[in-house]
Amino acid sequence: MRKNRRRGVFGMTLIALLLLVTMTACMGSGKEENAGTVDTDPNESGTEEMKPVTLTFLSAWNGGGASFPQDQKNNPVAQKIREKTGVTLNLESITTSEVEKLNTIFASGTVPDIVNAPFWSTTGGEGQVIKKAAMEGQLLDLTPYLDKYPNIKRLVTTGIAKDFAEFDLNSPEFEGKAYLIPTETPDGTPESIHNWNYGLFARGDILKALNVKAEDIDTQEELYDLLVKIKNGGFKDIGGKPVIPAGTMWNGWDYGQFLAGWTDYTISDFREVDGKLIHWTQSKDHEARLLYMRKLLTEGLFDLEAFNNTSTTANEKLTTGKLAVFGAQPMLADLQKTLYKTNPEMQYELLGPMKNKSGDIRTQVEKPGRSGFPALFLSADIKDPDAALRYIDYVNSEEGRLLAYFGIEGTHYTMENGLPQWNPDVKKQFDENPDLKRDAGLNYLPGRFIGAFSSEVTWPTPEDQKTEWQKLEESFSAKMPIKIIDKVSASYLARDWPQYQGFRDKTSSLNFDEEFKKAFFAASDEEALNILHSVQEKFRAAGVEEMSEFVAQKAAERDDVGF
Amino acid sequence: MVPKGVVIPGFEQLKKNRKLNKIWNFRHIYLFLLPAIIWFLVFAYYPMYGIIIAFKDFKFNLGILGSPWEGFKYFEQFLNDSSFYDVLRNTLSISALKLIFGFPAPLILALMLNAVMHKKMKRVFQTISYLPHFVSWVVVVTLLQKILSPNVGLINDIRYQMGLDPIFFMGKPELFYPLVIISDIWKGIGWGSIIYLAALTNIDPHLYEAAEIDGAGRWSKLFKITLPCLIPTIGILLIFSLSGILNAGFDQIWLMQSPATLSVSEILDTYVLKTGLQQGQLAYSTAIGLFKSAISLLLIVAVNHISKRVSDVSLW
Repeated sequence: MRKNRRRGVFGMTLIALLLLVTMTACMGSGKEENAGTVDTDPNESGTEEMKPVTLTFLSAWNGGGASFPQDQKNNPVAQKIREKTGVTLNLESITTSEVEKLNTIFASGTVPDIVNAPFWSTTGGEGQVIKKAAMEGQLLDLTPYLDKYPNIKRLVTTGIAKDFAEFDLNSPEFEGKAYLIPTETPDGTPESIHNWNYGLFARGDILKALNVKAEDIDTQEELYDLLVKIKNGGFKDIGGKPVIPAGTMWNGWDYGQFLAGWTDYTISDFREVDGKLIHWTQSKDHEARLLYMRKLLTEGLFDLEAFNNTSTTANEKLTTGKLAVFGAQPMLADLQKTLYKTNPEMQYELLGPMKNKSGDIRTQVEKPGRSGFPALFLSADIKDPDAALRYIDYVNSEEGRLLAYFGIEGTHYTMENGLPQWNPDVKKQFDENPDLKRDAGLNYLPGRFIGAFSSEVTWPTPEDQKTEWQKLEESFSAKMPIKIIDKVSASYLARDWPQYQGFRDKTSSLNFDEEFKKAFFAASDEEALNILHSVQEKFRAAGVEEMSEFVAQKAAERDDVGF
Repeated sequence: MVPKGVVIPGFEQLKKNRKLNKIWNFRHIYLFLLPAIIWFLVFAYYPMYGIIIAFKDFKFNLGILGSPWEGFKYFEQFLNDSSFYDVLRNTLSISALKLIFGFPAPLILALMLNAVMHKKMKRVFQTISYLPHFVSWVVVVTLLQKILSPNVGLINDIRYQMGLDPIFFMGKPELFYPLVIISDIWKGIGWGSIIYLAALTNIDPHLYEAAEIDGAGRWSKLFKITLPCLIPTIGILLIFSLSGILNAGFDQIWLMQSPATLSVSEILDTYVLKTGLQQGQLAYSTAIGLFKSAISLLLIVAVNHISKRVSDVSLW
């Protein structure tokens, strides 16, 4: 009897322990660790004291955590911002799809205090989700706060294309409310528009061995011939394995560079072909683009795994010289600390620039301001919106920007003739090991918190202080200058088409690019063309031709519309 | 034992009390069920009310209960979706193949292990066969990709040394199903065989001794004793498998999917993720998920009913 009772007690204790462990595992501690000291003196305006606040920040960008310092809270920049604003950020990022993450946080009601996410348009992708969330009360309306935070007010009005500001950033459906703070936008001058230098880059040693000049390759035929020569040349990566003649970064980004011959450098979804306006999905060029890609893939000239590359596998290929030619940005941040250190002879050179069938070189098309950018928004449930806005406003002040880009005066830089100059030792360390710069907190603010600004325009680096990589980027930009079109995009006219919403509903589950990529791997050219024609037909069935006619009519009524 | 038709006043109440007494006597053992019950309530039953958004125009601010009703709009939309037949065909094909090849595999392994006389050897084989179960699909698929990669893969390296062109195994639609089935069997065969091994130990050894005396050989014993004794276990597992026929294996397929194989690899689960989380059509994707669950429920009821009639094996 006693034995049984003892067993019972033992069993109950075990169960209690098990439950306790389970429940403890399910619960967070809910407490924030002490984030450090706060300057509780009256702030610069001298009116109020700041309480220490910890806020959550999500960088809703795939791989966005790469710029986060290892010590998020006590790096020199974060400490200084805490002294000035009382705010500490818990930084979070994602390694999955941006739109998936946004849908998840909105549907589950777990929106972090501050979020930065892609905002390219309100008719698709992430922007569409953000717009829906804004209209359904998930985002904080910033209108009442803007006058209090002049730097933020500048961000929402500077460096944004007129039409994008009118129809997307301040969508009429927002009814005058402001939900988004643009970042990474230019300061309003053409010089401050960032050139991303998209293009095709070929390994220098291979071009040399083949006696080919990079600038001579500027047509689709020449590109094909070059890739054939590379394939037959028996070139190797740094591990002694054969190179892949052509490839991309993760998920096929950006295979479009291999099709620059059929790229139109425009600002809308519509193209003028033989005097008629067509939607981009209906272009005849898609057939030629498709067959060209198929030729590269079937002849072993293009990385078969390019469209499944994760960022890790893509990076591995890039930094081992596995790709003889790649299409994307120059990827100098990754290459300068890896391949260019171990094998400088392999340094990639810009091909062309490639020309399209009209003879235009590959270029970045912009309006006087930016159409689409990373945007910040605050959760409607944020407990202390002023703390978040104080943080954003501060890092966008002159003092905050200096801190974000150059760190602590005296430690990292000194001011000379009104311009910040890196301390030579610090600069040497950062040049040799870019991770040190990241861990000092000098990488995470510029792209995700600062806008209406260009460091290169405000603090131009003297020629003798530019790193070889800066000079290399600039040489690419010089070859592919930005093209500015000061017009209203015709895409916005389509929104007045009476059947526009019906068209959007019918095409919401159609993914042209996914079908296009599927066609690359079809068993035959005929089957591939069938896949292409089928998706084009689905867009026609949804009314894309009627929509184009409507847009053409509306565009004819005004003279400021661009295609 | 109370004869049929005889009613003793208070007997039913007594029976109930006895049952409750029995439960009370073993209460500490029943309490062990509590974490599992809590888990089911919190993570399975409580979120289940969310399926009603399949009938609603889901708004973030109005939430699941507050969003306006839309009726069967999303079900109709799915049935008229141009991808409907492809997605359903792929789901059924993969599930059917997994059932045909994957279902008997653990049984065969269990019978083979059972035939191993050397006890230590048997344990070693058993342990080795269980191990892949504990490896996540992410690792399994990454391994597959590494082995089969056209650029740095082991197989293509060998082909390259032999002067042959590389093959993009993971990108060939005709190889997609075999790779799915083989990797699924490799991962699950050991774990799946545990139940059969347990059932095999329950077979009365006297039956084998009697059969041996009667001169039965290995095959006779297998077909006349072992398999018939395993029928109830096989039946139950088959019912479970058939009910999950629309679960083609999300993790595995999602990771193995690529544009090259999309025509054969888009299944209901991957389509739900794409329409729901990637395109933000949460109500529509819930409707697709509910469609899948409703068919699975119908299947389990039907198969259980048939099984009960045919073989006396049933879940309830």
